[in-house]
Amino acid sequence: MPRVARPLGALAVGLLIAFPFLGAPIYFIHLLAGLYMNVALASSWAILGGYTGYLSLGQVTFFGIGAYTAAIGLSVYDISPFLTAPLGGLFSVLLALTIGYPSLRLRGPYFSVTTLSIAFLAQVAASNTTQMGGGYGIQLPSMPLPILQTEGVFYLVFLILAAVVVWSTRRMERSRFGLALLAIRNDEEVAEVFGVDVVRVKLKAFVLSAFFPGVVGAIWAYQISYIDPHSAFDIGLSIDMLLMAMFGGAGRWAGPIVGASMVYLLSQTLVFVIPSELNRVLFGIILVLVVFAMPQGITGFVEGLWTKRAAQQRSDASSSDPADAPAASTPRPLVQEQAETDRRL
Amino acid sequence: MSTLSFPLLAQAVVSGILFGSVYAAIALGLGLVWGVMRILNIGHAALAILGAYLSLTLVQAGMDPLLSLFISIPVLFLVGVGLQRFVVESMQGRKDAELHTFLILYGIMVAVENLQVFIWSADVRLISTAYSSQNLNFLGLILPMGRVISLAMATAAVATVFLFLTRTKMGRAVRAIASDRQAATLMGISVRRLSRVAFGLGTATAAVAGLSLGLVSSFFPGIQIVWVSKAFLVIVLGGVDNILGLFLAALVLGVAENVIGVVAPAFVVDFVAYVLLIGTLMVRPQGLLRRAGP
Repeated sequence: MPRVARPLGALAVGLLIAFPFLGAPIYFIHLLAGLYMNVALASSWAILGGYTGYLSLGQVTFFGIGAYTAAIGLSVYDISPFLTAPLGGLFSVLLALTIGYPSLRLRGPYFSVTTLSIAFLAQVAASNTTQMGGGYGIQLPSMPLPILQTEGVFYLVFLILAAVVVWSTRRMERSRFGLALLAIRNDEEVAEVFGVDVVRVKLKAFVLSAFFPGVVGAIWAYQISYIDPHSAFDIGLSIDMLLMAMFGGAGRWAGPIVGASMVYLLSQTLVFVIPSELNRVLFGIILVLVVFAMPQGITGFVEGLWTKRAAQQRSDASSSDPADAPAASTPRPLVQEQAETDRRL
Repeated sequence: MSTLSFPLLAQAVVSGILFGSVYAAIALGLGLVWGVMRILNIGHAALAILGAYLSLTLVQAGMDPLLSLFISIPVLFLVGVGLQRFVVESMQGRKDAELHTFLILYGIMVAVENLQVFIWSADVRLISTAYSSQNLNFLGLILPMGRVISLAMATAAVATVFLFLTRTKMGRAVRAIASDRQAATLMGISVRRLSRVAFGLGTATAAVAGLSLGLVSSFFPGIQIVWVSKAFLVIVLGGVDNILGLFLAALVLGVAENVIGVVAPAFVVDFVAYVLLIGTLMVRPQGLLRRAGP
């Protein structure tokens, strides 16, 4: 199996990388670049929201900080956003460290509303700081390349960013740190009793989940080449991050990829069919339905079906051999289902 | 910006009180639901704006704004009962009930807001009537009629809920649920039925809040998120279980905003409000007026 899977995987990765240079229409290059950006954002939202259950509604603050860092860096100091992007991440980390400690003491909706207010505050601040262009925003010079190559560059950068975020989440999920986060979601007090440094772990997750949007925001600003407080600190983007992650299944590294792909591509397609406000109505309803029917998102739902089927097959197979049926087959699915409920957000 | 003179200050205080009464009306329902069910209905202000649009439509059809309440209050009451019946109750028993309820209410907020954009467009609206352009002259201060009516309505809503909770048997039962759900069940209170009533009452006040909002200031669907955070600020400042504290906090916020608005550029007002909200949440999440608690 791995003998086949490896070359196939390499081929797929190669195709993804080469895609913009294979003569694809510019619309699709742009579309996929946007998709990767959303995967990166949804994944970074899920680092905190998916694993600890602290639902931040203010991650767009970090995105906006990155965007403004890049915009000011390029328009005032003439430094390429590709160089200032890490700086955008760094500023986001600094802000996350400042607000994270006091706000992560708040649970549930209190935390959500606090982060939402911080996003508002950032928007008001940006609208009224003349160095940041105030309400007019900032115009960024575009890349000195032909349009097709420019789009190709952004495609690759967003692809790399998405890959890095997803890879980090995947590694985190299997680490001690990831387990500590899950423990916090299950029961914060119990986690603390068992020796998880709750404050430090939450802060670390918050900082990580702030760093990536800062970087992504910087690249986005360069791509879109004009930012203002309403687009850079758009509360709607916070909603999208949450929706995409929850839809695909926050708390699984693959969840935000699936969720961002489906939600983003659906919304990009629906734009042609129905008015955009109905689009949003639909996504509100989808969020409601997902929480009702698939609280672990699509990936969790499929995984649940999969384990159920596997358990079914096992019990079918063992029923022909009645001797070890009760001992070997019955307890296993029980254990797995337990693990399943534990992963629920 | 202008220099601070006495008449100007007095005018600011008065319009601050008028504005504050709207804050009180919106925070009232949010606080009631929060206090009884421990649920933050983030869509509350979206429902208030829905109430404003209902009233607007009825007023445009020639109805008196106060009469429009006879339609918008029952509609929003039913919405609240439905939310309790179909959302809150079906989430109960889940491990992450609080989280999931919040997410669903969030999804409903997004849907309701954008449905409003679809039906009524994102244009800025104001509910105006024949008498809303008239001014009341009180001791040299100019009070627009619409705002006075709005103040009266908001105060009446707060008083009604206050009297309901303190003077009626049903209201006492609701308070019993708020203070100890399990004990209330043991005392023979129908927690399920009264929770529906409480949620319904909470959203019904959003109808009144919406109308008084529409008479006082312009509105559009997207503004709801600002109002809900202001209402949340009022609750955080005034304490959840304390309706009079809530009313006081709303008036203080309204006056503070208007007075600051006289001496400083408008954005400072928002800035101060958000800093206050974030600061209070971080330092004293249980509210300023409550003595102690979890």
